[in-house]
Amino acid sequence: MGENIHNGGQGQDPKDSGTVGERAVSRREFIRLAGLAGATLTLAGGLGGILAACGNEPTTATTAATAGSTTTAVTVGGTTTSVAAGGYKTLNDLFGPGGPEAGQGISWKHGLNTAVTGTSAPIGDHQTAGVKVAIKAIADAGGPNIELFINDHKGGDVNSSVNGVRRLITQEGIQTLTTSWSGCSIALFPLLEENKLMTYWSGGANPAVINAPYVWSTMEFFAIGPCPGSLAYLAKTYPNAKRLALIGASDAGVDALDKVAPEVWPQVSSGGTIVATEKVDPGTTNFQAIVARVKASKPDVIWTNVYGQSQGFCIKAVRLAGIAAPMMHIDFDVTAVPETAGSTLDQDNFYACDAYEVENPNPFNKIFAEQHRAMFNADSEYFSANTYESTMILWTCMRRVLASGTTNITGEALQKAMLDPSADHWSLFGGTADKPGVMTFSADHTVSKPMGIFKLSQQGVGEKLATIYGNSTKIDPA
Amino acid sequence: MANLSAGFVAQLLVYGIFLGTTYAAMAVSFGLIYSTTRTFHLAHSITYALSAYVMVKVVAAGAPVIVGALVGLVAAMLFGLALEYVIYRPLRVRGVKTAGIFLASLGVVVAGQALLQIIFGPYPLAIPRVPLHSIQWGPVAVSNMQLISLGVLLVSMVALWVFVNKSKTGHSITALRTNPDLASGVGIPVARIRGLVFALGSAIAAVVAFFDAGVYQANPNMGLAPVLFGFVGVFLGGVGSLFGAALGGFILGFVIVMSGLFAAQGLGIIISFLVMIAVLIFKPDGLISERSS
Repeated sequence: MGENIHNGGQGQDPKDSGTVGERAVSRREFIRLAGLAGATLTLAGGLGGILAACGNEPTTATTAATAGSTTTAVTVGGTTTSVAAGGYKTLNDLFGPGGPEAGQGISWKHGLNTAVTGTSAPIGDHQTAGVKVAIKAIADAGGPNIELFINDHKGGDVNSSVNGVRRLITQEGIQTLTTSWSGCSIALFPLLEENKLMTYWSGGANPAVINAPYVWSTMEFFAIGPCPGSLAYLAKTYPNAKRLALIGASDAGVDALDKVAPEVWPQVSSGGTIVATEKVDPGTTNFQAIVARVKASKPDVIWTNVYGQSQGFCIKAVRLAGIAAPMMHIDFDVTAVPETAGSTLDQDNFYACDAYEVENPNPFNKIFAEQHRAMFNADSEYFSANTYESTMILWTCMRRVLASGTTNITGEALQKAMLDPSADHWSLFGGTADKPGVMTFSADHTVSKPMGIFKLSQQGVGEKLATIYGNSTKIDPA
Repeated sequence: MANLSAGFVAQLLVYGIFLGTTYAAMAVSFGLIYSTTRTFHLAHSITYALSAYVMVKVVAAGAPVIVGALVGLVAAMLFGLALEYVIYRPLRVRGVKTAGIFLASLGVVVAGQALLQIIFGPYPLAIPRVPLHSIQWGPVAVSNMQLISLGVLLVSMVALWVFVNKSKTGHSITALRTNPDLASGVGIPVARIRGLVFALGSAIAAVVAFFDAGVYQANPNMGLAPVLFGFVGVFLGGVGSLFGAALGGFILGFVIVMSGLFAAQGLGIIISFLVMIAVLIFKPDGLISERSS
């Protein structure tokens, strides 16, 4: 088990070349230097990333207790495991015993395409942690020996993503991949199809994943999924709110601003209107002009899909401008955003997503939280939870392929195993103290996961306020 | 187009003044170094970020905010000096020209950002215990730190201008800027003056970085955008003129914000650069040429 990092397939270092006399810089030289400076921004900077997940209430596992026994047979996803009395205590209780049928003895190479550097490095750090915890847990549970290879896409840079993943495939020989961010993941599709590389899109997934060969979203579409339910929650909680302002990233999830919100808000708010729609580039930190425009529109409530570190800048700028309207978010970096937004986070901020609760008593989550704490001496969080989950999905599918009687674990076989014999997989989200949550995949490569509305504060994600469902305005109690 | 109410316009005006002043300060800090030493000091962005991190750590260790700010300022000056003595001067002595020195500076940027992330971690860090609250004046809201930054940056820039234009050492800086060979010939300590301008320019950048990290956060990449806007401001306002650099930087920041009157934020940057191009077409030396200054 090891970790290897590739720098996104970047080109050679620039060479010192040319001479310029010691004199005032000419316009031509200025333009040349400005171009070099622009290349610097591309080389050294990174722009924000994306995350998303939400889903409908999933189907539940079936449980059958054998009379007189001290174990309970539980079937999730076609895999029947025997759970000792007292419930799920270990990964083997959830996924089945270790050994050859679990992939023990198999050496596997798994890639992770994430932001190691750039402004979104904190997200990448969490995502990497999730995979590392999962890899160790799988090995300890009698599963395969998975070696991790990391590519740095610098927060969504397409070139870094494509070149880097190509190197992982051709030079490192990765057999599966977890990817994140939107545009730089979509850019991989031809490469993934060409190599039949089973890929789990565990951050920033959007409708491009529908029926994309070998690419499966393990999270609901960024912003689009939680948008209807979160707007419905705002309308219900603030019944006098009619004026909605939208602030959003101009890349992923923009359909939530352009299509979903304009359609849903008038319905749920009984005739409300959208008074402002402001879009920002990923990685934006200066919101002054935007905030002034939003303030001028006098909103009652604000919905935003600004993500990553930009979210903290946005929240702070809005509140310092004297805008008191409640804000609904669909993304939240538990480390970066509170550090930037500070106490302004305490002022009527809500979060709609499959918000990860480290204290969720879901047995699968309890196991993960303990493993994460043991490895990193820190609480697990949303981004690491998603990549841990997707790595467990990989293990589940490997087990299913082996159970079918073959040891030839190919991309096609893994893809088939996502739904066969069942589309259900264990989830860290939702669930109860007795039973893990369940996520359900669809044939079009999308997923449904438990989702909710949560209160945000400087301490992070707080109390769950309501249950919502992907692409639905239905609201249920927490 | 947003509703053009008086309150909206006033709010944008206020924000434009704040951002314009910030970019003016960055243009002055970059311009002082560039015009005097002809060094395209892109690594100024690392000075900016490093000073912010030092401030964060010192205050987090228990020191008062003002002490942290001063320590960060000193750290910036020392780092700027170190870059001049360790990197730029040896290259100059070996005959490396402007482009080569720029590439060395670029290398410092790339390595510096990575090093900052390794040392301080990938997570943003804010200067703790910075008092921050909103002040409402009718339809206009500002933060106390925005007001303080406006005063401090203006005083800093004026103080620098007075020093450069009224003091003996300042005249040496001017002499070096206008004619390095003659300055050396008349006995001006060129190496020491170069070091001084790096230190002074770094100090101004540290002041800007304090308000950036105090209100928001410190992160390894935080310095690149301010320095680039400062660089553009220098050429817009006029190389060789501190007042010109300040004017160029201010116009850049002001236009970026004021374009919010009729355009989305993303277009604001485009508009500001179009303004710059238009100015340079008609006034290639910038708004204030060295001759006129």
